[in-house]
Amino acid sequence: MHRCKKLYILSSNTLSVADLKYLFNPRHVAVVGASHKEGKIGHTVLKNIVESGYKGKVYPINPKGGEILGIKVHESISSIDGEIDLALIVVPASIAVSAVEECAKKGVKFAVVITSGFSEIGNIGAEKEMVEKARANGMRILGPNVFGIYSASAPINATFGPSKIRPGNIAVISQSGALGIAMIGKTADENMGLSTIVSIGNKADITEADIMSYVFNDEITKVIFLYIEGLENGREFMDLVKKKPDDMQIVAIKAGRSKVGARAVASHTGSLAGSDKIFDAAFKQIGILRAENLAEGFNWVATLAACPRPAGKNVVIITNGGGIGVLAADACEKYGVNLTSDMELLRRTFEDVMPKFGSYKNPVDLTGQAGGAEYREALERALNEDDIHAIIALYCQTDMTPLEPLMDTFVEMQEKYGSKKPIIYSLFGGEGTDKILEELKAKGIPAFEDVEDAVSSLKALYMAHEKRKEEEMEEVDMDEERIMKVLKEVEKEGRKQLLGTEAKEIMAAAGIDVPPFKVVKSIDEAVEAAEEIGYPVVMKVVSEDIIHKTDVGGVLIDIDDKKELIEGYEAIMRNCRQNVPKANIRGIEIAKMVPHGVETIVGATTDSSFGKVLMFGLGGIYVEVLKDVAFRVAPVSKREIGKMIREISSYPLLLGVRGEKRKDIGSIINSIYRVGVLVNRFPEISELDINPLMVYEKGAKALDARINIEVKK
Amino acid sequence: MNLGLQETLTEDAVKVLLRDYGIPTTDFVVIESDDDLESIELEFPVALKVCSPDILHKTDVGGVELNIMDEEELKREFSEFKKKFPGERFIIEKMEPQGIEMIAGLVNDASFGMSIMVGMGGIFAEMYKDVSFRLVPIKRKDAEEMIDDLKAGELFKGFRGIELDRKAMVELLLKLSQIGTDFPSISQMDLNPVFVYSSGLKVIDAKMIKIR
Repeated sequence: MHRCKKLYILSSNTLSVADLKYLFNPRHVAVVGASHKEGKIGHTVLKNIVESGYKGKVYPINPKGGEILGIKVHESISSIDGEIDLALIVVPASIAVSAVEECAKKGVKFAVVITSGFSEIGNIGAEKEMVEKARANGMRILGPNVFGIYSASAPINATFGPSKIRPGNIAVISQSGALGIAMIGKTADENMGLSTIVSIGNKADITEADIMSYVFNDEITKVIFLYIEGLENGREFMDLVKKKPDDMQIVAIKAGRSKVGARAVASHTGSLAGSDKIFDAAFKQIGILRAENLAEGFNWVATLAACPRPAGKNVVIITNGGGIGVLAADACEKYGVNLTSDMELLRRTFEDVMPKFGSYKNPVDLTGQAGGAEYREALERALNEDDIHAIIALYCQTDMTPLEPLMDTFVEMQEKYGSKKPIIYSLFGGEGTDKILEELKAKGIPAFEDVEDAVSSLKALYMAHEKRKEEEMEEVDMDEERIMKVLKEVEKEGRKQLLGTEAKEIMAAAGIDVPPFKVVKSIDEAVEAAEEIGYPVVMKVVSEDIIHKTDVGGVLIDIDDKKELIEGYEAIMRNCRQNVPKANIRGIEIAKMVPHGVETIVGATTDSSFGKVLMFGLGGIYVEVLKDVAFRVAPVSKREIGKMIREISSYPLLLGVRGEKRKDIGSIINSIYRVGVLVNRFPEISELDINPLMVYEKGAKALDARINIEVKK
Repeated sequence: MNLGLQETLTEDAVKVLLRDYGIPTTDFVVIESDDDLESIELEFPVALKVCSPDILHKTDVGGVELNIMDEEELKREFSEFKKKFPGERFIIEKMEPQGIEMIAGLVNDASFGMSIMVGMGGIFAEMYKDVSFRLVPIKRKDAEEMIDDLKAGELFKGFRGIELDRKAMVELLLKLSQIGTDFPSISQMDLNPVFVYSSGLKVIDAKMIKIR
């Protein structure tokens, strides 16, 4: 259930693949607003189309007529005879709507509206009108406020960015136009090949979801590089990504990690950036790799585009220097890359190709004497050994060996084995190694200057190919009638926050273990309840008007007998009447006092983009300071909840530290699972906290709970 | 002052040393037999701990009993301890109110020599490894920076109604640094936990190992 529907209602239904065919493979194109003047966007777009070797007809449109780049200019789109699949709109905003309308009437299939000055500056009306005019004639719009589109399959470069784009298997999809253009430049620089590059702009009509579902099936793309600022509907996005082919990977840069960043994003595109932690969680759940920064993103994308799936976890480092070998080994430990220490395997693979002072202990050290021939021998051994699954080849520049044979070896190995086993290179030195790096990159071989980049990229490769099992959801029984009854009562009274006792009743009805409790209205009732529950008990005032119950003397713990109970009852009543005379006191809660265990917090909240989200963390001040909590988007399988629990740094506490026994993690999983089911079945529950969920060696109990509801309008 | 010949100093000796340097620590008495129990003057609740140069990790061997509420309970626990740890001495000390747990210490590094450490204490210390080091001696500014290095440093700035006594923590580090300077024979010293309050602090447990 998604309560918040924001702008762009028109874009809610994702197009099918066939529908976007002519956007990526247009047979004929028009540039509406083509300019005679060099340097103008209307000129650059036309020039890039021509220079990209586009095979179809190109129609520049400009009322002034004449010729641009030797091509006849038409005065209007309607004056063209032939069919047009794609129109690039580069006219000023004031006439863009009419230009779009004209194209639509002419029967153009797609308009890429490069023109800006619409919803991004608050001009929502004109943007809406533009989409309506297009849709009325069956035309679809990419943009407005985009840099155009590049598609290797056409091929066509209809952007105002750099003209040289290398065709390849990486699709770049960007929510930011400027960054998208910069990314074209960077990919060219890094010699990365693109299958397509698209900016989504204001996504008045076609969204990133539409583009992605096309790319999933375009049969060229291997890796998607996604720059994302926010999502209107995170759920739809997650469902979409689940449909991607298994051998396609997605690397995402998500802006808005910082508080300042999040604000800048909100004013930038008008799309609400969901909480960053929730994006992290969602990406994990659907297997999108989130890069920390652009440089890391580029490294990962290059590696994923070039390397096959590693067949196992055994990694070998081959190096000519001890120093970089140790640096790489450190990085492997940091990123969790498994350097094999199987001495038998290493011995049989490398023993007879080792130079005199070399060592086949991983990192395998070929010594400073090693040149092209030595590297070839060692690499080939490793590449032909089935129990070695990935290789990091390091080279530290020495003046002892010529570089050319080394480069030839690396290229040869890549050509012979690169599609079977991942090899990642790191070369460190001066001019000579820089030249090799450039050559390797030009051939699509993952090669980096810093060893840490090489290791982090290998880790990304492993993460990308981690098997994602189909999540199994279990049916659970809940006393829905009882839950409904509590919620109705609260709604009837016009309250948004439930009493603690009401929240606990819902928890109990949802099948979560809650220590027995009862609300009483007299001393006699209190005595009876305490005897039924059994001493020791806790007493708490029940009132929606008293939030900080302890502060007003409304809570007593460790009540051991009838005498203490009666005194306590009177004391609480007296304290509350004195300190909060206007409070509506509904009674006193008598609850079973339970022993101390490990305090944990389980929560659910409603994210504007992803809907129901679950949280888990340990109680205590340090956990709050360190924000040591984990999130997942609901619903979530028990297996994934297990992962979520293991994700927090304080997890060892649950395993038992300082001689304590392991705590009942299964009970936590069950409790979180039930909370997930509960908030999905009762979406009016907008916020929920169990604090604490006390965990024991056997069982976990919800001692206190808080629930907020969002009353339907 | 002389640290003696033992390789490990017992808790009482370390605490006396701390007291000499003006570092606040618990009130305690050391006893060896039941007879001593009669003469002690301490407020209940108290803690009972084994005090032996051979036992560095008291909790792991069941050598710590907290929250002993009255004399009767103390006698009972004491006779248990006597059986468990024959021939050892014992510490009885007043239970201090729970504060935020920090750790501070000295370590004589193989290449850098005496270094001082501060960090988040308690069981979380091992999990978060939220610690900061400097080389001894340190100045006031270094002590301030050490606290700021910690993620737990937030607690000294006011976090959710908690604001720990920063000045007291700085003083503790400066005094500990002085100990490090005065006794180069220290190999390792741990003040863990240090209970830090909104006003003041107290070293609850302490141990020291000297260079062999």
